[in-house]
Amino acid sequence: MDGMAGQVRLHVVATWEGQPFVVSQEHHDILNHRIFVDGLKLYLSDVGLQGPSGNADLLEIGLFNFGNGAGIHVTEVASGTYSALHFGLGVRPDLNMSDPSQYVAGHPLSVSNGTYWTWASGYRFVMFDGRYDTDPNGTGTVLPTFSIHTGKNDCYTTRVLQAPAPIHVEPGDTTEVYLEFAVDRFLYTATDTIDISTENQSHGNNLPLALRFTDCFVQSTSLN
Amino acid sequence: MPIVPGENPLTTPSVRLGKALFFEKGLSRTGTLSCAGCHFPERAFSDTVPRSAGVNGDLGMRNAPSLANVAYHPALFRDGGVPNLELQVLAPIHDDLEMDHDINAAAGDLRDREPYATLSQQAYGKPLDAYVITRALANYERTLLSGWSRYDRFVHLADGNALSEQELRGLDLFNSSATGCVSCHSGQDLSDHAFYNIGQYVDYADPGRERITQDPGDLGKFKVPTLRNIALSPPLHARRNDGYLGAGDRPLRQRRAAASEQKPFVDTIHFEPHRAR
Repeated sequence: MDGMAGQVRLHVVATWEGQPFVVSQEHHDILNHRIFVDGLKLYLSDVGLQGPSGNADLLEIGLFNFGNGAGIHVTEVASGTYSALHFGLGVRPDLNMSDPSQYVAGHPLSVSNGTYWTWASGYRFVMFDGRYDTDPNGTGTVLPTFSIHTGKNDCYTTRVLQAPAPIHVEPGDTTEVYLEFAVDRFLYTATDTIDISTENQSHGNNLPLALRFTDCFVQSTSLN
Repeated sequence: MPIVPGENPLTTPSVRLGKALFFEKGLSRTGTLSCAGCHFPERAFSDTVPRSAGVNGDLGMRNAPSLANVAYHPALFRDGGVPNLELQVLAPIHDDLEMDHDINAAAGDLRDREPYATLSQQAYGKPLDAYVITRALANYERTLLSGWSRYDRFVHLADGNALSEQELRGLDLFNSSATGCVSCHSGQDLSDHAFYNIGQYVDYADPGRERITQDPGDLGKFKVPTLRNIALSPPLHARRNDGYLGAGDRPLRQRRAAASEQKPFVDTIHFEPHRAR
């Protein structure tokens, strides 16, 4: 660690096939369904840089609402060279078990965010909501809905993303880091495909499906 | 012993504040429903209907339970998904089938009003907020105790005149292996607070405990309800999770036997043939 501080500006962005993700736009999923994502929120825990210069904490807990555009978080860290970014998708178990009444409105964990399952005393980790149409050429109003909400500690997943090039944080300078979620990959991985027309509801009552979605969400991420 | 967390001691100001909040309709989004709107004090803090209507007119997911002796419950709700009374407070306030509000917004609306401004300072040393509301309501609920019935005087004081001869025969049957009632409805609260599938249904619309544990073996399991004050909480047997048990329903043992044949997770309770005294 080189000691003097620099700034890291963490951008958490969502894309669809490489283009900026916009809610409620029409897309086609891997199974060629028409799909409209009307809401996308997610929690990230323990986001930080790691590498030859040591570790640098960027964010303990954040709630990102992609209906409001990209999330940006700025942190001062020790200058140096970093090679990877680590994060947890969801709310870290100890925070997930904390009492939301202790967080004021505006805090990511405030109960006012509407992300807390009061019946299970825990937070929803990813909230992925929208509509679909099995007719890829359909033009009418799309009515069937999907609502995928993951949560509970079993769904908390950590990942380390290697940076495509070393991340240099210079004293007094600002370094841009982009954590990208490819929403078009939220419904498949190399080994699994989720058919949104039949597997479209997850509200804490279907752990196997929630874990499959979690795997898709995590594997959709990249560092730029 | 009642469960009182160390960070929320049971003090007179906190209970007084909790009591005022319990009857405060401002905890609901429309300002029309208080906790007492579904948990009537005169009904042992339960409701008279199978499922209560919330501020939007929709019915709640389950029957509103009696709050008597909730201080003794190791987990709250029929499925045990909430670990303490403080967190339980959040559920009805935020549930869109019940009060459909935001506790922080409610606190903001009530903060400067009396008696909340004064009692909140006395109880917790700060203005009313979500933390104070959850603590105070939890403490008030901890004072809702039931333990001085004729049954209690018979059992704990050996008062031979407390129960009639007919009631004594009922108690004898209740405690016998012929009925097995006491195997679940035991202890001070007439509930062991454990979770059982007693074969109410073959297919459960409400998965019960399974929703919390994700264990298929917990499908259809619900916390044993207390039998205290059950006469005050019509319809009869409303303390089932959905509140329904019509007069024409088959007896428990028949329903359990039928369900056991079709579902492996129904808990086994052995009944002996009834023997007349």
